[in-house]
Amino acid sequence: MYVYVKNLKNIFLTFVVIATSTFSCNAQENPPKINTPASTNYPYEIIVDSLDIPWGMSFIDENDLLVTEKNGILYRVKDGIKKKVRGLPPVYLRGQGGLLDIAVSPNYKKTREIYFTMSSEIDAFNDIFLSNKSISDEDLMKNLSIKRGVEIIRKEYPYIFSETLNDFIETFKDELKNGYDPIEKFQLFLDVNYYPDIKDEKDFKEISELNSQIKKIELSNDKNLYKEEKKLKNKLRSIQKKYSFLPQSGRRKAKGGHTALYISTLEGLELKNTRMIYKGDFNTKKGQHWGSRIVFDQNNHLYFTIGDRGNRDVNPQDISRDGGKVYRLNLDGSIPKDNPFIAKENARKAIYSYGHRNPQGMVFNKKTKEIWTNEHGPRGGDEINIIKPGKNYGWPIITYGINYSGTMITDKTEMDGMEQPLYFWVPSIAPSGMAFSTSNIYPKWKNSLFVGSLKFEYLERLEIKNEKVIKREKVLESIGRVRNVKEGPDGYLYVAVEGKGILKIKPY
Amino acid sequence: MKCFVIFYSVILLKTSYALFSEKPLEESILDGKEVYNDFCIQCHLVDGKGVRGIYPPLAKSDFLIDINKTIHSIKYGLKGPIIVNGEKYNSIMVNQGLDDEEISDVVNYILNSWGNSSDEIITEEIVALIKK
Repeated sequence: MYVYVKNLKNIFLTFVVIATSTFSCNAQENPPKINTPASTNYPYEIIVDSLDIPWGMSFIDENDLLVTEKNGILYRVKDGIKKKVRGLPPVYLRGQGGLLDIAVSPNYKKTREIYFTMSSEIDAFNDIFLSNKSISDEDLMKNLSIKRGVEIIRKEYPYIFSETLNDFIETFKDELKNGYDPIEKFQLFLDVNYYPDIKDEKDFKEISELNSQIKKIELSNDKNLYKEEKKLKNKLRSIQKKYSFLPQSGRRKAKGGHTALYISTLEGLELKNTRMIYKGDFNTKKGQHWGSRIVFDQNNHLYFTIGDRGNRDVNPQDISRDGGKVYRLNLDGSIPKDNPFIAKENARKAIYSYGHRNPQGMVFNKKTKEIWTNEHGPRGGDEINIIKPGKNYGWPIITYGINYSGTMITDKTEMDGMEQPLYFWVPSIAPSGMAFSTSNIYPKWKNSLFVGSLKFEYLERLEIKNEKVIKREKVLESIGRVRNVKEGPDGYLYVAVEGKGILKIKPY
Repeated sequence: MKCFVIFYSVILLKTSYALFSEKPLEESILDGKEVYNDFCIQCHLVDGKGVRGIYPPLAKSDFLIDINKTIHSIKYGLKGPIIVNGEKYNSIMVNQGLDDEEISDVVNYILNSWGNSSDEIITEEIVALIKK
């Protein structure tokens, strides 16, 4: 059952795995084992071929489909012919990030609008352009002065770490808005917060000295001094590493990215009037957990997900930060007045639920009018959740999983004020994509839930009764890494498989 | 004599690389471990053994003999059938978006972990020279 158990030399760790499985039995009685029915290979037709990682797909109508590839290509597939769409903003390719989900607006016929999520390097977008209230010109000027201040500091301190800068913006937001000298405030901030930590006067002097030498070389723009500059930077880094206030590795410079949501108008094969309507903060060079999926409910709300961005101990449980959340917006990008944290100070008002790890499957359940998600958990902790406003789904305080290295994350699987999953997979299947079959095309599958498995390379069908999984089945066994599944407007199921393309499942 | 001169200059070049490369090997390996745990561990696993038939091993892997190919596959991604330690693999490894320094660090880490060892130190400059 556990491939990895074979590799564990440490008996204790094996015990932990067994213990975790035992815990799981307590909370989820007899988790249904995956069934392998005799006929697992349903007939299918490849409707789009040659795709590496087809992340998102959304139908304009049954013969007109938009498909994203993670490496940054958007295709429009019309009557079986695949063509590239031009005009995407720059994608930040990093680890699991890239061009992610795509969704045709419920008002597409009228507006031609589409939404998509992607990894982006743009910084501090939300502070500048997103606000709970509509932004007046005066407010916009104030926010722009934050942006200007940050630019000035970046110029003056080219090696500033993004974490430090972000802390500073949080602390001195108002002063910056009101036009105080950013450099003066920044030095004050460093004095108060950081420099007292450098106990060794020699180090303090050396850091200052190195910084000024590096700056001189930078300003001289002399390419011959490149090696010298690198040497100085490495020296600086080795001293800085001694101090806890700096990121542990000097490599994490003021760079990185986060998940962004865009809206755009589609004209033929061109994106026009593209606007960012949400951007996760704060950027990080971490490669993991960007999410992301986009869906709509029946009341013209847009939901999208961002994973914990590789910072599980900070992001998922902190509603003043992005990452590890399900978000809800109006179709124009504004924040619904009844969002759960609208009145909460410092909260990101777009947050709808939190405590998630990496949701890569989401669907609007038309029957119950609920948003359902699946998320990648740690080992043994992949989950299905029903998303309710303002609720905390527990990551990483409670989980049924353990670290992939075999070590424990927490011994708690439940806690007051935290939601239990509808289901968790043991072992993890690495779920991605989610769809209900609501049509009459596959009579035996009506109302079944479908989830892709990246890890075991099949499409999973789940029968659910009274919020309990009563049956699991493999459909399309050994098909390849299943990244996405959707029910098309024609009622057929469409499955996106890595390295293959998009398959349409035919009934017998 | 000619042969000796060439041999001598190669040795000299190697030594000078070792002496003057900007980042000591130990530090590069340490940074490389961090990159590995962030970007590679999901598939190649903590012991570098991968998953037989799906994700090729890095531990004692004969693929690593060709260092340039190793760097190339991390820098630009790898697709299509390969044979590693006699086993066939046919998956996609996408370009992870690492910069040249990060690639040199993670290669140094891989070349010196799980029973692997190498005399060669991969630098940022070496990675920069590997073109598509």
